[in-house]
Parts: sequence; C-alpha cells; structure tokens
Amino acid sequence: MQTETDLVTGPAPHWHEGVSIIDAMQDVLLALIPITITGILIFGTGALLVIITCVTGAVLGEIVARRFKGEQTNLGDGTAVVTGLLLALTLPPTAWWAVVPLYTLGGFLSVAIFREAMGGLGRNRFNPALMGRVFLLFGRTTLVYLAPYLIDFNPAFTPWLEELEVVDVMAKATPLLRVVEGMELPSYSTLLAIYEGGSPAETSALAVILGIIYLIYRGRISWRIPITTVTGVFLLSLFLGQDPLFQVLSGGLLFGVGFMATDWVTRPVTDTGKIIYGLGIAVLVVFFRQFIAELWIGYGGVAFSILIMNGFVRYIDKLTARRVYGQKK
Amino acid sequence: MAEKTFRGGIHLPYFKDLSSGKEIERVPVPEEIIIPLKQSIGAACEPTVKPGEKVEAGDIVGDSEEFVSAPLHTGLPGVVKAIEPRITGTGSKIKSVIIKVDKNFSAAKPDKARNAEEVSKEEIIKAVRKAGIVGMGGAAFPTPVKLTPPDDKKVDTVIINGCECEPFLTCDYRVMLEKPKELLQGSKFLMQTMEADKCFIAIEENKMKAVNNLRKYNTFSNIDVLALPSIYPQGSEKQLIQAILDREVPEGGLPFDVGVLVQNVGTTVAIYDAVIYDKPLTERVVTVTGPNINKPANLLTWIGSPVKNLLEKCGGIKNKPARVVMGGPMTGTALSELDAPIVKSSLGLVVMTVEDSSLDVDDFRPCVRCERCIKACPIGLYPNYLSMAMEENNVVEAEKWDAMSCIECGICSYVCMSKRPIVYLIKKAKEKIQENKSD
Repeated sequence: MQTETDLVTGPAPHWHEGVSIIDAMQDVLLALIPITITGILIFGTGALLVIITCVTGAVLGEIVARRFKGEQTNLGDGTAVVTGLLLALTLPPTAWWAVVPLYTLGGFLSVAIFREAMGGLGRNRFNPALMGRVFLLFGRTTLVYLAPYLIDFNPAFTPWLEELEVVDVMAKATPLLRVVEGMELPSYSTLLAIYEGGSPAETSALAVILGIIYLIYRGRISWRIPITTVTGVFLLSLFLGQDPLFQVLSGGLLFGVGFMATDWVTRPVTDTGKIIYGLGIAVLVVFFRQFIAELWIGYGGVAFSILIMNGFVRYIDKLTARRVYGQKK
Repeated sequence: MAEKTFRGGIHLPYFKDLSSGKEIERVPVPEEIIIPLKQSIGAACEPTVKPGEKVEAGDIVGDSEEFVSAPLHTGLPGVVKAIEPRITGTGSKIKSVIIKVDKNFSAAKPDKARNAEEVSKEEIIKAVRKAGIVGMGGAAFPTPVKLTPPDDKKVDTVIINGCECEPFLTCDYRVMLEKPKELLQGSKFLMQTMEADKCFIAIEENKMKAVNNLRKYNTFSNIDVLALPSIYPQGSEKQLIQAILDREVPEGGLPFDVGVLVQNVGTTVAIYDAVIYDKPLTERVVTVTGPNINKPANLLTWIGSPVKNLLEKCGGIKNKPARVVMGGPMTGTALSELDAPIVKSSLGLVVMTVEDSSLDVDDFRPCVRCERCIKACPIGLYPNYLSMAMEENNVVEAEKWDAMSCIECGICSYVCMSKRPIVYLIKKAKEKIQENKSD
C-alpha cells in the first residue's frame, strides 16, 4: 500500500516548457538598450534621471495597487519595469524639478491606474505607458496654464514654471515641429543616427529599428504591425504630397509602432487583425499630422493614434478570427 | 516527397531513449487483477460472472448489448473475488470485476490458427468484436464500430498510426520493431475490411529504425511506410489525416466522413491476433518510464494488473513524492492511487518528479496575450480567449471561441508563459456546453 502523500496529482499536461514572462521582458529590455544608450549620450544624466524616476514610479504603482486590490505583487516578471522604461523613453529629459515629482507620478499612474485599475495585467485595454505619457503631456500643459494662478498663491512655484517653459521648448523641438514652424529640416541621416530633440525615443531611428528587428527575430513581436503601419504612413504621406521618408523617420512613429503598438496586451492577436490595426494607426497618424498638426505635435499624435486603435482591439479580434480546423472553408 | 505537415504544433523534447532500447518483457503475474467494467467510449459492460465463480484465461467477464461497447475478458485464470467499485486511472471509482489469480497455470498455446489468405471481411469484423478490441492509442473507441461505418461512407484510405508523438512512450515503437509482420498483415486486414485501396503506416522520423524495419518486411505494394516530421501532436487523428491526405475531418464529424480509417499500431496487432488466433484483448504493451523511475521498461501486461506491480518490476520510484502519469505527459492523467489497474487504452506510466509538474488550477497568472498558445494550437483556436472566458465561467463566450473543436492535446498549457491550465479550463467548458445541450 502506498500513502497518498507520495503522489502528486493535477491536470494534464504534466510538464511545462519553462518559458515565462520574464524571458520575454528581458528581450524587450535588451531591445531597448540601444535607444537608452543614445538617449543618455544625447541628453546626458537627465535621461538617466527620467528612467530612474519612471521605473521607480511604475514599480511603486504595482506594489501599491496590488496591495490595495489584495493581490500578490509580481515584480519579478519585469512588466512594471518595462512599462516604466517605455514611458521614460518617450519623455523629454529636463530639469529635475519637473522630472522627479511629475515623472514619478507618471510611472506610478501608468501601472497603478492605467494597468491595475483598468483591468489588471493582461486585461487593460489601453497601453499603460502611452496612457502615462498622455497624462503627463496634458498634466504639464495644464500646469503651465495654471501656473500664473498658482504663483499668486505660492511664489515657490516660480522657478518651476521657468523650468517648465524650458521643458516645453525642448519637448516641442521635434523635427515635425520644425515643419510646422517653417524651420530648416534635419537630414535623413541625422534622423537615422542622432537627432537632438524631443525624447530618447525620437533621437535615433537606427537604434529603434535595431530594437524592433531584435524583437521580431526573437519571435516576441510580429512583423505585421510595424510593417503595415510604416508602409501605410509612407504611402499615405506620398499620396498627400509630403516627404514620405521624413514622415516615417521623424517623431515617435518608429518607436510607437515597434514598442507601443506591439504591446501584447493591447494589440490584436489575429493575423488579419494586426494588419487592420496597423493600417488604422497609419491613417490616424497621417490624419493628425496633416490636418491638426499644431494641436497635436508635441502632444503625441502617434500616442493618440495607438490608443484610439487600442479601443477596437477586442472587436477586431472577434471579426478576424481564423478558421478553425474542420469548419467550412 | 514534400514534407507533410499540419497547422501549428511544436517540437517537444522526446526522452524516448530511456526505454526505446528495452525489449518487450512480461510483467510478473499479479495477486489479483482488476477489470473495470467501463474501459471504452460508449456503454459500460454488465458483469457476466458472479463472485466465487471460477474463470479460465480468455473467459468473458463483462459484456453489453449496446452497439458502441466492447466485451471484457480476463487474461488470467482464477476465482472472481468480488464485483465492486475500484479506483481507476481516471481518478474515479468504477465498478470492476476483481479476480484472485490462480498462479499455477500453464500458458495456453493457441489451438488453431486461421489462414490469413482465406479470411473474409465478415469474419474479421466478427473476430474483432468478439475479442473486445478498442482503440489502444488512448481514445478507447470500440474498433468494430469504426470498421462498420454507415453505408454512405466510403473509406478509401487506412492510416496506421505509429507516430507515438507523446514524449517518453515507446510501446508502439517496440511493437513496430518486434512485430512487423503481424502489424503489416493486420493493416492488410483493415484494408480488406474497409475495401480501401491505400494504406499508410505513419511514423515520426525520430523512429527511423521502426520505419526501416517495416519497409524491410513490407511486401504489400499498396501499403506505404511514411516518415513524418516529429511535431507534436502529429499522432492526433485529425492532424495525421491533414498531414498525409490534406483532408479535414468536419467539425463534429469522424474520420470516415473524409474516407479515412485511423488505427493505432497496438490495436492493429491486436486485430491480427484476434483474426488469426481468436485471441481476446487481454494484454498490451505498457511503457514504464520517466526521470523518476529506476529501471524503465516496455512491459507486456495483463489488462487489470495494478500499476504498483509494474512500478515494482521497474525497480520502483526513485524520489517521492512523485507524479505517476498514466499515458503521456501531455495528455495522460496523474494517478491518485497506485492500485489503479492498467486498462486497454493505457499506453504507459511516466513517473515524473514534483519539479516537472507545475500546473496549478487554483493559482495561476493572468494571460498576457503573448500568442504562444495561438501559434501552437493545431486546430486554430484562440486558447487565450477560451481560458479568459472560463476564468469568468463564461461558457457562452467559450462556445463562441469554438471550445468544442479542442482536441485537448495540451500544447497551450505547455507553452503558456503564465503557466495557465488552459486545456483544463477548455475541458471544463466542453463539459458544461454538453450539459447545457442535454438539458
């Protein structure tokens, strides 16, 4: 007779491949290394400070939100760190006045509110890092507008306001803004290699492309979304009489389609769905850039395009589900 | 020939080397054998013997009038000790005939042998029915039912399934090495019965020795021995038909709907024995293997032998606690008691360590939609959406995502980055959908 404690039971399968989320997150972090390095090279320690604050905020966000929800934290899976880093790379590095309180809050809210409160890991419908970015951009603008009133109450805000104005100039000095303001355009090679403006995500198209290729090679993301979006933006820009290559290389487009639009949780899982989603983003990006440029540039046309398409993902999946074995062709 | 394949699937580590070199040997005669009265799909059998009654080897101990059923025989002589519910490999108790084995017996030699050339189609079906043969590859579908499809279904191709795509198992491999003539003649009988003009013996290319052995003995021009890529679940009936013939069994249909009969290697040899020697299905080859058993082996085992007898014969479990899986690690069931008997469809016992076994049905992580299950699913399902629906007990949603088409191969859970018990949740969905249908 055997004692029952000698046997372990449970449903099939009785073993596991052993690949876990952290393996994929490691790949994402690796893919982000070139962008992080160029960011730090161009913006100096400011960029590093942005990264540290955003990641800290994101990690705190998971700890606080999970405690509040009574769930276990799982920082080891690396998802909070990745969200924090993605957010950091889309933000303009500026003086610590703005960075430390504001960007920590951004990282915190990205995970605590935009992920954990909006369904939790895997169930949030909108990209948390992009939500954090949009929050910060609006938040900062609001602060700038509110500042005169605040200063009336508290003179301590004055230096901050001055910093914020500097911040805004830096944030807006993207190549796309130069188009709007009739400034001289940077060359393709500058855009590809090192363009000093905006955020780390916008500085070197080459570094971004390198990261995207690595993720596709590792099978972590599908080629479908980046390729359709880029092709879509290229062709639509051409059609509208703009410089298509410039449109593709400038701004946050490449980073957005490679690292944000491919976020597992908020992109379609069907093959056809990815194409539709990618084209949708392309149309929105071109639309924003073409028709309401002043309003959107510097405020994340790509971010908004992706977030809008995020909202349709579950419907796209249902409509484009593949044929199951044995069903009619 | 172009490489034949099906959709999805993955390469698994096979671990066949543990037992593939071990010749088939007999398991020691057990003290008692336990014959569960339900060992196949379809109707359960009623006992045809009473406690205290003496039985001879080959006697029927259970039978049913139903068409979808198979009679049960004892492989050993003895006295019926009891008819009572006993624990089985399914984890639940099933009414069983328990026979106290008379160990002083001499193995009966088959007294007659039919001539393979002179057997008629009707005689084959009758012999298979009488022998109680069911699918020995795991499904346990009564074979005579498969051999007598409705009149409007014409079967043109017989596929003998020697893929053995589950890791660790080598029982079919050993049969292909040790009984090639029987297997080939059995295949011929199946072609004759189905009036099929083509037969494929399908083997994964990680078993080239078996492929070459069968090719060496094959004298039939219309039997082809195929070497297929080793992709799990190649040995699943639907995938095999798709890979070889590029035909798809319609949703809710059976292989004969697309003109195919698929039989497992072990079953085919059992059919040969039944037709030639009138031998009932009372024994089968069981692979005892895994990282946590001392001496892996391929054992010729009487149906009804307790699992613990086989484990003892193999030197016992190395480290306890252990996970003893009846069947393969992808689709088998973990035993809760080692008194459970070997049944007609028991392919093997894979003894694993606790570390190997990792799924937890109560505590698993959220789906992050990484798509690994979607890419691997051989049916083309969206296991991610299915498991998310069942997390919320949303059976309607699960049905919309085609839960009923799942073949339960276990690939989705195997690759899941969050170690979610996806296939377990889908099985739950299927049960509930069927309950709702019958209400």
